[in-house]
Amino acid sequence: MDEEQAIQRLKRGDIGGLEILVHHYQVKAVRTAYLITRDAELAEDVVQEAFLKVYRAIRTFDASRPFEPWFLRSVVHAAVKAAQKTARQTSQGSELEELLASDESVEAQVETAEFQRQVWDAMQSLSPRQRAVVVQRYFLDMSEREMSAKLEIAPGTVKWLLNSARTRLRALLRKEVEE
Amino acid sequence: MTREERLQQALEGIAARQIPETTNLWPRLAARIEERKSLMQNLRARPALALFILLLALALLTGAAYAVGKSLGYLPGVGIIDQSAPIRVLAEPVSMTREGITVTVKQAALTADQTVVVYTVENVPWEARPHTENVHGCFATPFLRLPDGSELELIEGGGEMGGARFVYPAIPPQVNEATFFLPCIEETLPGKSPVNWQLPLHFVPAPPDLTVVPVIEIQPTATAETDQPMVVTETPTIGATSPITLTHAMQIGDQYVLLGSLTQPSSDGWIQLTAANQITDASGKEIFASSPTLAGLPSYDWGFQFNAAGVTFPITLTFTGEEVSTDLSLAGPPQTWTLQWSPQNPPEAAALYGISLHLDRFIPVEDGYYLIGHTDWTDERIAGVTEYGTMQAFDANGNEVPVEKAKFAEAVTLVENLEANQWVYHLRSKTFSRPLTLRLSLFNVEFKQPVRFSLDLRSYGFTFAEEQVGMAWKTGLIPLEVPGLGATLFRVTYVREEEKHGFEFTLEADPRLQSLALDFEDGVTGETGPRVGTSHHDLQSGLLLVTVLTDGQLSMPLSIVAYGADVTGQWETQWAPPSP
Repeated sequence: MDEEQAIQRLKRGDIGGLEILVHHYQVKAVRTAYLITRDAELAEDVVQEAFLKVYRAIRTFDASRPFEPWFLRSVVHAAVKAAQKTARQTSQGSELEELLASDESVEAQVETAEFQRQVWDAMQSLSPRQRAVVVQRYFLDMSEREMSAKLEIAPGTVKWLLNSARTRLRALLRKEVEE
Repeated sequence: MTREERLQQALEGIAARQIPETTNLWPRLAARIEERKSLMQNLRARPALALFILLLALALLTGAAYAVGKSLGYLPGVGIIDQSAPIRVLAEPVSMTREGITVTVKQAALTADQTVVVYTVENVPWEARPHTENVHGCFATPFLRLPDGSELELIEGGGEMGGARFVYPAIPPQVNEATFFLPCIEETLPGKSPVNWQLPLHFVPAPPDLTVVPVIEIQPTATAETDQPMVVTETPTIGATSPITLTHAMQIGDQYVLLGSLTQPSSDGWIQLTAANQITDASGKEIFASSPTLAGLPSYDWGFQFNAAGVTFPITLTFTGEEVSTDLSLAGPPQTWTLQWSPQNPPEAAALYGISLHLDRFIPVEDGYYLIGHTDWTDERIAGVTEYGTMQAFDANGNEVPVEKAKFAEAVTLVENLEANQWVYHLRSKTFSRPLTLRLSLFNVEFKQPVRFSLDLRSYGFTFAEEQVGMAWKTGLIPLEVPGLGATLFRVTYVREEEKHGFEFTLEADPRLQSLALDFEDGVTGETGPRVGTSHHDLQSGLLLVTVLTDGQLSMPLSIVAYGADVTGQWETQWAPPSP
C-alpha cells in the first residue's frame, strides 16, 4: 500500500492508514525533532502529538500533495515551540562511547565523534528557530524557498536566519578547533 | 568533502545515534487513540453505570451528543446536535473582505455541549497559493474568543481549502457574542494574503422553523464481546475472532449510518481491510452504501451510510482484510469477516418527495392486463414527476411477473390526454399469486426552484487555455440546494471533446441522486450547435459526475443551473386483480 492509499484510508476513518504513515515517517520525524529540541523524549512527544494532529486534521489535507513535507513542517513547528518552552538540557556523554563501538577506524571514529560533538555543542548555542533552519537545510535537505513556505516566514528572513546560524556555527566550530 | 557536507553528515550521525531506526511510536500512539474506545468498553463492562455517563462521555469525546432523553437532530451543514436544550444559531452570516479575499462564517450552532462553526473562504488569488511541489502555505486553526477574553480551542473539525466546519467547547448560555479568529488563510504563502482575521459573531435563539432532521440512535453500543446492548435489543452477529465491531447505528431521516471499530491484533502488525466491503440485504440484493457524509459523527474505523428504502433486514456486511506485519509485508492469507445487523423495528422510510404510485384502472386483454395509473407527490418543492419505464411486478411469492411499458401510440389509445405523471404498462400474464406488487425505481423530478450556483476559477489562474484541458480544480465545498437530497460540489475539471468544451463537475451526493441535469445558464456566447451533457452516479466511487459541453465561448463567472434530476428508490403499490 502506498502513501496515498494510506491517506485515503485515514480520511475514511481507518486507523490502519495512520499506522502505515507512522511506520514510514516516525524515525525521520523524531530525528528532526530531536535535533531541534535536543531531547529524545521530548522529540518523541512532539512527533506523537504531530501524528495525533494528522489523525484529527487529515480531512484538511489535500491527498494529491506529498504528505512528508506537510507532516515534517508541523513537526518542525512543534519542535521549535517545545524547545522554546523547555530549558531541558541533555547529555551527549554516551555518544562517544557508541561511536567507539562502531566499525570505523579508531582515528576516523575519533575525528567523526569530535566533529559531531563540536556541531552538537554549536547547535546548542543557537536559538530554536535558528536550529530549525539548520535542521531543515542540512538534515532535511530543503531549499531556502521550501523553508520559507514551511516556516511561514519571508524568504529574506529564512536567508537571514540561515546565514546567521551558519556564521555562528562556523565561528563556534572554528573556536572549538582553535581551542 | 565540503564543510556543509560534513555538517550534514554530523547532524545525521547525531540524530541516528540518539534516535535509533527501531524507534516505534505506534504502540503509545495507538493507545492514546484507543483511549476513546477503551473508555466506552469500560462502560460497557459495567452496565450498572448509568447510560447517561456513557453517552455524556461520547458527547464530550466526539463532539456529538448522545444521551437518553436527548432529542438529537441533524442540522444540514452543521451536523448532529442535541435539541433537548435550547439551541442558538448565528443571527446572520458574517462576512469580511480584505484584499479581495472574503471570509464568511456561514453557520453556527450552539448547544449545551458544543459550538459548531462553519466558514468559507473565497476569491483567494492564484499567486497566493503555493504551486510548487513540496511548497505548502500557512496552516493554522481558527479559534473563538469570548467577550471576557477567554479562548475556545478547537476540539475537532476540518474541511477543504475553501472552508471548513469546526467544533469548539460550549459557549455559556448568557454569552451571545464571540469573535472568530482566523490566524491566516489556509494554504496561502507568507505575505500573500491578510492574516489575523477577526469576525464578530452574534448568536440568537434558533428560529422555530429551523430545519432539523430527526436522528434516532438505534443502537449506541453493541459488540460481540458484551452481548448487553444498553438501549435496544438488537445485537450484531459476529464471528468469535472477528476484529470487526459495530459501535453505532443511527437512523437520520431515511438514511441509516453504521459505524464500527477494527480491533487490531496484539501481535506485531495490523489488520488491513483490503477488498471493497459489501453489504447485502436479506433478499440477497446488494445495497449501495457510501462512506458517511454527515458531519459531526462519532469517530470510527469503518462506516457506511445507506438509504433505508427497499432494504430487507437483516443486512450482511462483508469485510475482507489481511494481516500486515510491521515491515509492511503480508503476514497471513486474506480473511473474510461478516457481520449481520437488523434494527429492532425497521421504520418505514419516508418516500422521497412523498412520491406514491396509484393504479387507476386495468383492462384485461388476452395475454394479461393493461395497467393504467399515475404518480403523485406531496413535496411542494417539486413541480413534476415522470417515471422512466422501470416498472417491475412481483407476485405474492416474490416471483417476477413480466411487465413492459406500453408504447406511446398504444397508450394514447387507452388514455385520453395522457399527462406526464400518468403511465400505462402491459402486464403479460394472468396467472400469478395475488396480490401483485408493482414497483418503480427511477423517476425524473422537476424542481420548482432551479438549483443554481456560480463558478469562477479566475482567481486560480484559469483562462480556458488548451493546456488546462484535463486539469481538475478544487472548488472548496459548494453545497447545492437540491430539494431533499444532499449534493456538494467539490471539484471541476475542464474538458474538451472535439469542437465542444466545458466542465465535468464532481459531487459528493446522496446515493439516491442518480443524475443532476446541470447546464450553463449564463456565460456562454457564440453557440452554434446543441449543448451536450452526461450525468451519472459512479457506483465504485459513490460520486456524482456531471458533464456539460458547448461549442460556444465560455467566460467566468459561469452561472450553472439544474432544473431537475433523476432519483432512484423503490416506490410500490399493490394490486389484487380478480381471478381469471
